[in-house]
Amino acid sequence: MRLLHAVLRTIRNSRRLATGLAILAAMILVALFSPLIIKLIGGGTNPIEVAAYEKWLVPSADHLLGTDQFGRDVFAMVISALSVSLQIGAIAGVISTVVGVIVAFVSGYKGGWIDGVLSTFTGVLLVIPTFPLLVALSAYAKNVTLFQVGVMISIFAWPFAAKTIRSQVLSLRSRPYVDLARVTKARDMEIIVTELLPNLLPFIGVGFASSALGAIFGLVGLEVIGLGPGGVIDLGHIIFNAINTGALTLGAWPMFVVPIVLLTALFAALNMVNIGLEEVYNPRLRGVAGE
Amino acid sequence: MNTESPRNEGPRPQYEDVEDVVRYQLSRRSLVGGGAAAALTAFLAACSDSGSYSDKPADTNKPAATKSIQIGKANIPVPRDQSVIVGQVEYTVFDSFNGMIPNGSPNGAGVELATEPLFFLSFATGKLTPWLATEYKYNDDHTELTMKFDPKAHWNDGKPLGANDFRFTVMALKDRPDLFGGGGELKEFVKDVEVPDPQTAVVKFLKPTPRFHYNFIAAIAGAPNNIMPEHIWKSQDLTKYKDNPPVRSGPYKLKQAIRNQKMFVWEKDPNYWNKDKLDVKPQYVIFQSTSKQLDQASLSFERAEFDVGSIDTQHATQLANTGYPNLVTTQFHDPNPRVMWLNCDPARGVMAEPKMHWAINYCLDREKIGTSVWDVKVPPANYPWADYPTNDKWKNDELANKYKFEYNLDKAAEALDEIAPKNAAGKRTYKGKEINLEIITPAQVDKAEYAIANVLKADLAKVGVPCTLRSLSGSVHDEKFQRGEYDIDSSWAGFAIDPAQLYTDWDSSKAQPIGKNAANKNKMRFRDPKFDEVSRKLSGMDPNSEEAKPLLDEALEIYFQKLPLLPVIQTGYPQFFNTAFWKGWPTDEDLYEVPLNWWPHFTLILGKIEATGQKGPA
Amino acid sequence: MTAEAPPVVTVDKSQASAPPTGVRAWLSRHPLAAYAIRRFGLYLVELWGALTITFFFFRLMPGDPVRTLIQTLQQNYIYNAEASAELIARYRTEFGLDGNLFSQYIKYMEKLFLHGDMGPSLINYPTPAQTVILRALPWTIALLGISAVLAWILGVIIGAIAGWRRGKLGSRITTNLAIALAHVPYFFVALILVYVFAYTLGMLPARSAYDSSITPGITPEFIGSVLKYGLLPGLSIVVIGTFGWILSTRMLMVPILGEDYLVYAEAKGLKGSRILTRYALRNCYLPQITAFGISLGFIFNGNVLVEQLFNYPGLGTTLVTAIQQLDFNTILGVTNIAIFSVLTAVLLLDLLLPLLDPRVKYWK
Repeated sequence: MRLLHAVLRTIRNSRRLATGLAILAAMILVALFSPLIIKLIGGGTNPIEVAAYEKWLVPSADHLLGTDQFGRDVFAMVISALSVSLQIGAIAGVISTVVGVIVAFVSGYKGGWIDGVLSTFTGVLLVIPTFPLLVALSAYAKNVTLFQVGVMISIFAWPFAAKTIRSQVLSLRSRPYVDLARVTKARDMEIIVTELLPNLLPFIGVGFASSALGAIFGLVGLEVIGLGPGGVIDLGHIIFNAINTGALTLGAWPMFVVPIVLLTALFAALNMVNIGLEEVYNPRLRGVAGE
Repeated sequence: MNTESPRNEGPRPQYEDVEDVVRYQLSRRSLVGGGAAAALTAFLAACSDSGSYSDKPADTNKPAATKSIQIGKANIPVPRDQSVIVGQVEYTVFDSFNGMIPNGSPNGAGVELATEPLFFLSFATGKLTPWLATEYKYNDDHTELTMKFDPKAHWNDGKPLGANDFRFTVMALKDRPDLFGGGGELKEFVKDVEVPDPQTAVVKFLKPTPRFHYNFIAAIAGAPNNIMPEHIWKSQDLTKYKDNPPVRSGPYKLKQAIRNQKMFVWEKDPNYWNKDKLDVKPQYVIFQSTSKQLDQASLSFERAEFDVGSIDTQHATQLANTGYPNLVTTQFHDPNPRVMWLNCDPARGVMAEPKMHWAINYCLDREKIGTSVWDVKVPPANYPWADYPTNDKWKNDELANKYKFEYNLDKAAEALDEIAPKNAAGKRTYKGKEINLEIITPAQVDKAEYAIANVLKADLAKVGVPCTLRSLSGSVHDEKFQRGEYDIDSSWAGFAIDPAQLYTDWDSSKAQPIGKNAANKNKMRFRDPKFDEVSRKLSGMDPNSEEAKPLLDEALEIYFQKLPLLPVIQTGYPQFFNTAFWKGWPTDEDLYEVPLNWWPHFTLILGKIEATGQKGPA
Repeated sequence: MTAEAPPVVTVDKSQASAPPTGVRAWLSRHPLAAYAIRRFGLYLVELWGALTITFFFFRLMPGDPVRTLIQTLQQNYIYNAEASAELIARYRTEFGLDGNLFSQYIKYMEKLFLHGDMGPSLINYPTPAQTVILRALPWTIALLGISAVLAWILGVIIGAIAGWRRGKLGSRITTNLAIALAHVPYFFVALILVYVFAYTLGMLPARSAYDSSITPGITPEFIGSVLKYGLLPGLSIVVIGTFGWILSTRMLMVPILGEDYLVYAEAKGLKGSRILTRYALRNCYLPQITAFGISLGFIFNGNVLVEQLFNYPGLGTTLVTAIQQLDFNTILGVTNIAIFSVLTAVLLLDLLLPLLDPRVKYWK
């Protein structure tokens, strides 16, 4: 209960955080209701099945955003793709954050050579351009499920979470209340869970947002050059189709513009959440005495 | 749309005149605006009408036919009005023209304009035209082949071309199966080549064959084997020599290959050996990779920066509907119709039954597929080959009527009830097990072959046959296909010159068990002893001879009964030509030659077209 | 200072009192050099680790390159050669694909480090992979290098000003814009730029690196053409990159706004802009230097897509072509070059830092 209060207060304190979360919430809501919305649009037929309607229809009352090269309703496609993108971001974000948290805690808390090895490993993965590896991975992924895609991408997104969290673990480790807990002979695990974790929640939040952003980013990048996993239609895939079929010159700008706008909004929202959280927990960022 | 652009107007507006272009663009495409306001108003306006993007009516305040086109400045190093510019695929090789090593020669880059075959076979006219060779003659028992060469022929470096080069080519390649084009039929049939005089070569065979000369006929694209200059290659390592610039015999020579522009520039050879018979009109032919973004590619075509290609069907239709005067669309059927390969192996259960094949056949709605699924409207295919005039002689209307192909779900259900009746739960079973077919395709999800398979899957479901459909990428698909681990494969098949080439593939001896790689032979595991007999006899016979005819009919009948392959539709690929600078391209009404720019037959087209007199912008 | 032996414990006096000699002595007297050597060792370990991981990663991709090539040829050009076993075997050896994985690895590493030879490429056989890569490298370095540095400079300056003038309208707008747009992929911007400038307005070209009628050379004509063609791709990277740096610089600037030395400077009567450049900026651009090195990998990722979009003949397009044809040698080559460049840049920046910032200390 106290946690909930604290969270709400945090949100109210930072306008950026609130805006970002609001946009995210709106998208998540749409995603949750997407099967219902799609059924409403289709009204009988499945609007995202190949050859459901005539191809390349202009936007009209029947098809708010027209149809694509296979006769699928673009509006329905976009809603369903939004849901898919969010799911992949969530899955990858969760996996990355969990792995990142574990690695960060182990290395930050234990210190010593374990810390050295793990942080070098994390550092290398962060620094090297991982896109070629991601592209190679896509060669496996011609026909995988949504969940598998999320897992794959999280392999590349987890160091982002780990790095952010690790530096905080390091700084927190030396705080007085941890020493106090140590003196009371509490076990390591207990210290981590009861003392460190609650203070780190915002950073874990930041880690989640960063890795979700990175995951969707990477996936869209793959798809735009046509190497994305097939069978999973997300916003990047629609953009790829639009580029590939020259939708713009055909006049089918909705297919091109709407996914880009949605993705930009998604990235902006995640970024706002990130920055907002950092501002809340780093008071120096917010205000300076006398201003 | 074949109207000529009026030539007596003043200089056309250049594309550098920005204002003009902006005005022009904004007026033409009411949905795509430069700004959000334009887009919004257009969006609202469009909300009231419906229709397809490409059949948007032309603006009412602009007369349809005399739309002026903006000529763009093509990024080429030679004069525009003397060049034909062809838009093609992505090139990755620019300094090597040795076709015997992997990626040793760029495909579709115009090398075909320089590389001439011994004979041309045109699917458009049906004629066999001797070229580098003047005639071929087998002896009576097909153990010897005599080739005669044109005495005028010479290479583009001046040296004479003749039987010695032919012998060198055949003997160099026959024992090198590690080279592309090596081994194969050359190794299987050639014993020796004699050269009694510089214009005559006599090939002695190890075993009789009436089809050896097929290797040197350009029927589908270039010939399987092209003659190589002995004086260039005899001292070179065939796996390392790049042959840059290529020494060939054709009417064009390579002027330059520009890597950073993905461009090849070919220049007319003033010393071409056959210029009396073939005088190509354009001084230069340029092959360039088109942009992978179709927007850009089609805009380039619209601005006449390309003469051939660089535009796809959708955009071309739109251009035609908005009154673009310089577009010529020519349809040509690919030598391979789209087919469904049906697995015949007993290990696949119900698929081994011919009635199952017929049931699937009755579920194929060829009309719908030909109209809605394929890019352009194409006719259904009833034979496993393309509908060329050269293939007419293999047809047999009597047999086709006896085994009529039609879309009839009732007949399908009937056939199914006989072999796979429904059990108590309403599911079809075969020998006690519920049936479920596995359909695979090498095409990606947004390609036609996948869509065709999807339509079939839906229809099969209607008669109680559930299927799974998967698109597999290149090598993954190849593995499964070769090993026979599928029930239906949606792709394509066909042959070059006569059906025996296809039938010999279906010999039982070439059928591998499921799980073993078929090495590209008899991938559907067709086993019919009668068919084997007929096919083996046919392979030793001249297909045009009298005695071959009844055998061909027999083979065809067995084919119709067992249906190892289901032809679906003719593969119509439209070719697009821009008549701003050059006119006289082959059209649907006058298909005087095969209109594909990566086939050597393209040189014959280049000999027939004429310049319009249009000058490029400065 | 010599150590005094404690009275109770007997210590070998000669050991304890003698000054440390040799390498250890030198190292303890030069902590900076010690750090540099340790850091360099770490660099070598990282390099080796990254190369090994990528090698095995790519080798474990399913698919056989030679077979794939033959298939593509058959599909697209009705190529009639039967893929004979000899042909495939020959090229498997050529490309180093025979033998078990471990022996392939040893052979590859040997060739790479002893001869600098990355093996023959497949996309341009028999040209060696390193030639193919070196052809494309200058274009990427030019495009990526210039854009990245430009974005950094612009971003740090604007970000510092935005942080300095906290609360002012201009700074607030800039900050919010940066938050919204900092993580937009480069190619989104590229697509919009291409649409506006190349299609609609037709002012700038949308593909290639230079005008084909100009022969490459150090002529003003050629350089002018290169700049013109490189404008749009470069702009895509610079615009988004700048926003990113604005954000991070501002985040560094704001916390130090209340520091005492700044108050002191203001009290002394120094002008605002002078305080900004001489005191505040100096304290926040240093972490940004390290961050720049780290961001190079990320920029390369985005660069691949930009190059693809603009058909720019750099490493990105080479990589994508190589992956489509499963050209292992070229793929590994490009990835290795990218890894090597980034790790080296980070190493250099790390070593540079103590020179720039006297406060930096290196602990054991």
